[in-house]
Order: sequence, then structure tokens, then C-alpha cells
Amino acid sequence: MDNAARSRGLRPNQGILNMARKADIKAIDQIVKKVGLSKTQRRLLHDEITKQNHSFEEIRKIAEEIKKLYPNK
Amino acid sequence: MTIVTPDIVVQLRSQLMGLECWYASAGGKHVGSTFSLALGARIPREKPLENSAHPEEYRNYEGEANLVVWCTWRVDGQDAPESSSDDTDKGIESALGSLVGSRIVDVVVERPAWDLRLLFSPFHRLRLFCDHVPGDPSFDGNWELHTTKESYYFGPGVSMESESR
Repeated sequence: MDNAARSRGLRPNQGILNMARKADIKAIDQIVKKVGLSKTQRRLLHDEITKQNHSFEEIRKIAEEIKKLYPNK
Repeated sequence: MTIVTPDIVVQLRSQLMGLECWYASAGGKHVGSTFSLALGARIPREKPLENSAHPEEYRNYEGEANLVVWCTWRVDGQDAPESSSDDTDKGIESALGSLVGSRIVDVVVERPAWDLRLLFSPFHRLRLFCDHVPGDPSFDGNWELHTTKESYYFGPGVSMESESR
């Protein structure tokens, strides 16, 4: 938790942030299913998009690349 | 893919006990509060990760056990919660980073939904609350554990599967 926010007992826009997060992982789940990734490939996708600033379209392309690079995973 | 029985909890415990966390992967756009932890020995990857945001070590190695979390969670410190899946990215990365360098000293798995509680030395606790249940969950799973020989997939709900790696 952000220390300054914690000290004030404030978490600006936290409710909106949490709704967005659930929407984000639902969107990732849909990309995984649409591209047809296995669960092993899904884990690789998580590793490849973490700490990045990718759009959903970029994430979909990365998912397709993983499917090609790791066909037997 | 194999459906396994609850005695898997005993196996998980024996596989996780004593392992040191050496990397926490979290944060980024559209990743939400999901994260993974690399635990135990460094095992060379079949192919390095392309993601340059990770350190070289993680791009080239995974853990002998790797926890991947898709569900709700909280990290407790000695006297108070330090962060949770409800926190800001900054808070999440800080709390998960505090697990790096510490070892797992207790493992509890609670049925029916496979909630997981890991105690790290000296006092941190990581609790996973498996909130993805059948119907229309936001994600097809709650958490995963990948060891050198097996991958275990927990959730949604009571479902649990394993497969050889």
C-alpha cells in the first residue's frame, strides 16, 4: 500500500482500479481462450507481459507468438 | 491431464517446505494483481523469456517450484497486513518483493476450494483466497504450481488437475 495514502487512510479511485483489474484478467482469459493457449503457454504469456505496458492487441499478438514458439507446451 | 486426489496436499507441502523465494514477478498494464514467485533452485529455461523487463536471471532460469496466482490474495507482515490484490501496483510490488530472500516454513491448503497459506521466514504470510468459482469466473483458475516434474492447476472452484512437464 502506498505509504502516503495509507497514512491518510485514503486510496483514491481504488474501487475503479479493482473493477478494472478484474476486467483486465477477464480480458486476458478471453485472449488465452481465443488464441487457444494451453495452461503452460498461458503461464509463459503471463511472464512475457508482466512489468510491460502492452495493449490488449499487443498481448494477443504475443499470445499467438507463444503458440508458435512453444507448440508442444 | 489427470484429476488427482486430496493427498496431493501432502506432496505440495513436501515440495515447497524450505524453498527460498528468489524472484517475484508482478505489475504491468492489464496484468492486474496477478503475480508469480520463483522458488528454490534455478532451473534453466528451455528458451529465455523475451521480456526485457525481467532481470537476466529470471529470463534464463525458472524456480524448481513456481507459484502463479490469478485469484485474490493478501500478504501479512508481523503485526499487520502489508498488501493485497486490492492494493496499488506500488504496494503490491513492495510487499511481494519483501518475500524475496525468505524461505517457506509452513504450507496449509484448505478445501474445498484449495485456498493456500504460505508462511515465510521470519514472519510473512501469503494467503490465497480462491475466489474464481464455476459459473462465469473472471479467470479459468485460481493458482498454479509448476515444479520440475509436474504442473498443478487449482480452480475454478473445487477443480484441481495436474500434468507431467
